[in-house]
Amino acid sequence: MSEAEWLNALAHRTVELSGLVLAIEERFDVGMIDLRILPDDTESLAAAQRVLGIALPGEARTSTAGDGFTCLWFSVDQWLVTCDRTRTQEFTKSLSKALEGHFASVTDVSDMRAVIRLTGDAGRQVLMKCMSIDILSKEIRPGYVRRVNFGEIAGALRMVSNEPDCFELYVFRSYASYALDWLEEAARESAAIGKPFGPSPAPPV
Amino acid sequence: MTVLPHRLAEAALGGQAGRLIDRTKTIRFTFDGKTMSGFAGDTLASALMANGVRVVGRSFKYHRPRGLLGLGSEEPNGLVTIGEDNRLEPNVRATQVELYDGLTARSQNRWPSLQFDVGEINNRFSRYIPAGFYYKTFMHPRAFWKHIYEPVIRRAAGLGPAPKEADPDRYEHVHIHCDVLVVGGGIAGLAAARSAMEAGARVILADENSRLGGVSDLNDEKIEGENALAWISKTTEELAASETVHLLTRTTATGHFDHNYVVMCERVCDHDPARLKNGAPRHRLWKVRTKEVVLATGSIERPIAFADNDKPGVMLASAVRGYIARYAVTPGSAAVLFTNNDDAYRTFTALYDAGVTLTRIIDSRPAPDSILTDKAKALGIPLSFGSGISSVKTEDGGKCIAGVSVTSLTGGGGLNRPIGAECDFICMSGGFNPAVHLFSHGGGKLIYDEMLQAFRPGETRERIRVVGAANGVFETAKILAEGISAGWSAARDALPKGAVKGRAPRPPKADAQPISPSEPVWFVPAHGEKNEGNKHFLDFQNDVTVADVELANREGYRSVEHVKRYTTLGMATDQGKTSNINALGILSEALGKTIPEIGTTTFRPPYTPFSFGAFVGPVRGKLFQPVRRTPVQSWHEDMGAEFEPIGQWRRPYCYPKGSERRSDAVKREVMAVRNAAGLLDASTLGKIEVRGPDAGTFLDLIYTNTMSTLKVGRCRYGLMLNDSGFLFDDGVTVRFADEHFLVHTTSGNSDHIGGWLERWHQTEWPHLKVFMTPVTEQWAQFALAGPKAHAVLEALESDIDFSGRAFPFLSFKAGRLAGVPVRVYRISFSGELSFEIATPAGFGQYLWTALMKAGEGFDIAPYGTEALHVMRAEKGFIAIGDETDGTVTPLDLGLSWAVSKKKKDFIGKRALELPDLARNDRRHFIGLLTEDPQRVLPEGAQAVADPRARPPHRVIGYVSSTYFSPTLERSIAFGLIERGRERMGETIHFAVGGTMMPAEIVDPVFYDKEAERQNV
Repeated sequence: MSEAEWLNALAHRTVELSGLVLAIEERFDVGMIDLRILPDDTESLAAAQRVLGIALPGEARTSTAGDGFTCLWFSVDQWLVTCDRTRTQEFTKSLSKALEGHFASVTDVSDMRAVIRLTGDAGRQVLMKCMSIDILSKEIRPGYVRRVNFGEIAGALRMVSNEPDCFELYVFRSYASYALDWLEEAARESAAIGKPFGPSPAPPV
Repeated sequence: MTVLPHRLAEAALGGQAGRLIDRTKTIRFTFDGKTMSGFAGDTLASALMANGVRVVGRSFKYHRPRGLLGLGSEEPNGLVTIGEDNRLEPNVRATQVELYDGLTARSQNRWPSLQFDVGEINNRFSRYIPAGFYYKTFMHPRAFWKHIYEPVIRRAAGLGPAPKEADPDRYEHVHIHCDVLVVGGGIAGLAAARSAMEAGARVILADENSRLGGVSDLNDEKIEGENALAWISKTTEELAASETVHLLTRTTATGHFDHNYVVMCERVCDHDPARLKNGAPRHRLWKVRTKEVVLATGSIERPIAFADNDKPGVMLASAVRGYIARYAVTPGSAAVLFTNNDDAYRTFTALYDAGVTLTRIIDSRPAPDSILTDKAKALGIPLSFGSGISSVKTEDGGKCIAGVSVTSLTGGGGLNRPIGAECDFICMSGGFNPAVHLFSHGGGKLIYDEMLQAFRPGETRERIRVVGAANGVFETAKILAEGISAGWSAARDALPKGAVKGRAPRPPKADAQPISPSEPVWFVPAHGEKNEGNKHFLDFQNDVTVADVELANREGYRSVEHVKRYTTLGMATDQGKTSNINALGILSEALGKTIPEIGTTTFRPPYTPFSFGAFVGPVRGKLFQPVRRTPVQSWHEDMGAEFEPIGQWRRPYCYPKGSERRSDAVKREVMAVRNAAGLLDASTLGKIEVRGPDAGTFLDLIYTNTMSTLKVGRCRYGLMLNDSGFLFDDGVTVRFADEHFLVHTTSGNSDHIGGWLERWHQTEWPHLKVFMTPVTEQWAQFALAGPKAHAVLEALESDIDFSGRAFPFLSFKAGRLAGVPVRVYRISFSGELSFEIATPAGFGQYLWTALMKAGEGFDIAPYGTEALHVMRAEKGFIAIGDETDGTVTPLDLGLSWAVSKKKKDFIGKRALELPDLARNDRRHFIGLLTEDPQRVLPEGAQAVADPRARPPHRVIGYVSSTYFSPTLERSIAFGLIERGRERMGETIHFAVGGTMMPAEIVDPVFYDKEAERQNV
């Protein structure tokens, strides 16, 4: 029997992307754990924090990042914890153990979503063609997380860093190919919209 | 041709004429196949005028020759078809088409040619085809409407042709947010945008034209001591340089929707189609969400309803002035001017300065008095006050104007002796209507302004301010002051409290020209021998005349909304931009009511039509609908599977080999499962993990049967009802641990069920300690079914004992198979020995391949959804969506064994007790065997109560699933039939293609009634 092979969601897409205003790549080293704890259950929150080394973000649309973990706020009682993919089972176990006897839910969902990373300063301009949120808002800075309607599907957006801007888009695995198609269309150099609200040549009068 | 007939010399107006054209750059284009030339900066309209083209189209109903009326988006006549083949676009306003090399334009609604049109005969008979003519005439015989009248009328009336090929260009949508959106880039809009910018707001300013400044360049006024254009340039540059202002030209705000959501269409490449080749979007739809809106949409000049006011050469006065100032063209060489207001005198000045002969100014006001009128007096232009144009003399079959008759309007009754005036074009101005369209889209109420004789914005529930001419303010100084004040206050309201400090900037100084009031002139009586044949047009685009509106009134149409629909006034593509108020004036006189009493019709989006492409945006081709892929999709595609849509999934229907027919492939797949082994990709099944101390209690409420008694490691089939007691989902629930369940849902319903569980938990039972995590996408899941399923599994390395003793039916085990983690459920939808094997999605393709390889020696075959359905039907299993349609209860389906009688409550329990659901004559789920075993009943066939009765038949049920069973070598079907369970053995009849098809009612389990095969 051959070695068990794990395939990423976009493994069937071999075509090189070109002519785009930013870099698009799928990240498949991300492990993901769905974590559910009631927001007022301080004991469970503390138990999770002991494993993760960081607090779960309590504020909407934020994330916390620590040594090996990032915790994305998904709703008042739901977080997506990301980690090194090869260690997901280990962390799922240690979180489950720490939360034993608590009212909490720990689920390994590493294969459920595809993570698409967009790198380049035109990121916001491309995302303006993908979702209705105010992507140019100053609120959207590294660490920002928002569940969005991407094209016509559900997704989550996280701003990873700036200079250059880097966003990660989380979509359900079965829709990854559709999401990539949409991004390829939106990010074409020939359709670039330039920097909105930026200084621009004055139109004729 | 070096000098075009109507192009003014470069020196005209002291070199000031034609400020937008570049005479050094000649542009070639064609109109109706004829090559013409214009200059860079021309619009198609100005270039046609320069080439001496008077007739640009034929009218909608009467096919009357029509020329240009306006200068911009208000143009009702100059509709042309641009481009060819797949890039053909009909009904484009020539006034908004920027000229480019190679542009091809065609006139519309004419045959065989624009100059000679057969349809013009409609005009000769126009007295017989007034408003409502179609409704009155084409009534009988009834069948004629569809086959004769309508096709003929549709061919005769109408606008440009639709393209026949797919649009090759791309379109896109962009979402953008701002604090203040300013619509309109005239001085009012510029002032508002600048003041909002200074207050610190994020501002978008959009204008439908290619340039900013509105019509201020036509008014010869000064701002801060300079020509208005200098101030416009300076302000535009300041806005463009800002980090908080986004300027958009060629962008029409087409609609304003609730909560300040404004849709704007930018024409990105229409003026420069070469960019399309690189893939640039042709149009871009901006979806703007703004906190505050400032509308500075200006006003639209009104025509005057005089006889034959639609002749080519009758134009709006401000438009004529615009053609001279911007493009150095005039519609002719001798003009008359007919007005009821002072603004038109600016056109007189422009004509005079351009050296165009003005033979007479006709003013409906008895004694107008202002600087502008004085100037005309001083220059000795013949003036007729208190007068109107009573007839228009034409040449060349009505295509050229030769002169007008002018009659006093103050004679108190009959017409006086007319004065003649020679001219080849007419400038008319009946006042100005504020462009209130966008204000009205959001439900804004309009108020009638007696001074303006027009509607202007009143109350609105939206956060909108209206400034400048759009608000009925026409003096430059006042416009600027209003713009600045609105921009500042909009920014203040949009930004957080206290963020805007200080006061609004001082408005720039502007000289105010005193203007004497205008007076309404709704109708000018006609004069001449053939008086009755003359038409006073109100709506040029839909060919609606004053007589039509009066006729509607005589026939009893009192409401303006009814008059609109009966006459089609204001219902053309221009939405009555130039006709609305004039029609109300006519109606007002006819009804003896004031205009405010009559009210106005509703303006609806779009402000001007925009392309379907922009509407659709990127949602076409492969982005038309999101398509979901299972982890094994590529394998299915490589195997040449035929797919069927299930929700947004594409599931293999069957896997034809070579040239195998679909039905043969399905048979082969069924027999493979029945005799050997088959593998089905069931990854699309919905999967929801349910955890918590109350998980069992919660599932007891969700399902009709009891899940809390399920033992750990076991599986149970369950039914979900909606609160009306109807079955809407089914599936197998697995208990992993005391407080940990997995719920399987049908493929198409998985997202819905996820929401359903959350809804009931969050709204009805929030006290239950339970968490739901949908994990559909986490797992690839395959059904390995068939008598050799064991053997296939044993060929793979595993820590799981798959033997019947260790792994009984309806149980679950987790472990490793072929080196990957798996969850295995021994459940069966085919009736065969069957294992559903789940593995994390990333291992899906690997495990599938491993199973297929392990099964090679056992004749394994992949099978699709159709084979699955045939086998479940052979076994008498229902399928959600086939046997259910939202009106079927579990009792109807004979599934009462799955409905708990002990549980105190579950969703749908009380509804099941309703008398109608407990009726004993409901339709029951039964099996059907056709008399002829080779004939398959059509799906949905209706069963009749008495096959010998004359139609219409009483229907007693229908066929819900129907297949040819390869296992039984005969047709089988399910039906939902009235009292079906009481009729076992009875033969009933189905109406099929005009004959009756008999079938016997039987038990729905056709195969392996003892259910032994799943335990092989």
